[in-house]
Amino acid sequence: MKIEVMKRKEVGSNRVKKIRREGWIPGVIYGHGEKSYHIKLRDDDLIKLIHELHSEATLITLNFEGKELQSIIREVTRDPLTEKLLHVDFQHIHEDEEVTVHVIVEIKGESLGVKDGGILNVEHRYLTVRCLPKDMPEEIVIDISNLQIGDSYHVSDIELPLNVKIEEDQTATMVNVLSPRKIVEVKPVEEELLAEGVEEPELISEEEAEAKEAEESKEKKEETEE
Amino acid sequence: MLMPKRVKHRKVQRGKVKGKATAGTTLNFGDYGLRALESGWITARQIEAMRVTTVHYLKRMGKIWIRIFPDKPVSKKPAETRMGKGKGETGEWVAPIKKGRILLELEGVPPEAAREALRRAATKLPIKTRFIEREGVL
Repeated sequence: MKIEVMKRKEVGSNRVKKIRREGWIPGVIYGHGEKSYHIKLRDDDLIKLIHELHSEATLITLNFEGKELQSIIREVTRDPLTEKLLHVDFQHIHEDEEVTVHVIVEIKGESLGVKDGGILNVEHRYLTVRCLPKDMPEEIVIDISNLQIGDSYHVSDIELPLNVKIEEDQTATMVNVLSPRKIVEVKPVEEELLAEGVEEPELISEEEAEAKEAEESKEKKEETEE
Repeated sequence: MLMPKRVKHRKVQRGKVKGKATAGTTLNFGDYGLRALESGWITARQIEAMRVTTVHYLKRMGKIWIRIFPDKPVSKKPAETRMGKGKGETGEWVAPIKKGRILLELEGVPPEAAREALRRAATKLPIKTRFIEREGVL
């Protein structure tokens, strides 16, 4: 994937807001042992690129000042209300240097446990792996079709090429199938709420004072014993 | 109902909820969520009502995460009391919510059921909300 980026002179929130209004998205390029640059790119291009991306671990070629830079998207900032793109971080990567990336986990098949009424519980949607850029997997596929109720799929069950190291705990659970919960009569909301009164929480300062008092009394006791 | 176990101060000033949320704005656990579109206070009772409604509609299927916690005490004077004589005792606990905050997350249910469950949950709240679902990678 290729994208055109330009050097950005506009720095600071007001100037950046202005370029956003003109259809640009501000960003930054950084890399190991390199100088970082402020950049800007057309919002349509970035929206299209993100839409096509299958995983964060996808190599993107940046056309920057006549050079072609191999990079990955490290972070995307969005507005929490409108979900519009606000900023993007690119990391320039070197062919001979290992990178740590988050790879999306694709769950394949419907487990036997879910067919029997179990609940599929996904613990990890991403996996952190370390490898050379050329070995970067775009996605990690796990097949859960044999999972029964109560079974788990662990990180150690994932098969990856030897040159891709998983940076997670090998015993961590990726996916498990929980047993269905029994339907219990739920008390009407008002009744439940009225039944409980508002209690007073402990004050931290009071607790500390009590602890101090206890310590002092201990010391006094020791002194008298001496 | 949710409330802190220990607090530093029994009573606090009311304060203002300014700006947009910067933390807790993305889906971190489930596939579906409810996003606040307005700022305001959500009481422990409203959070509990929201939870009960969701659990009841989904017939205890799926998994729920409540992403907010009422850690602010709100004092209230007793009924038919003359003004003065100091600040009232804590009447309820509230969570000050900034717009953009994710309030509730759901997983393990079909999309239509999640949409309806969160629509029902939203009716228990004093602020406008929006249903969101996980899409794309970034």
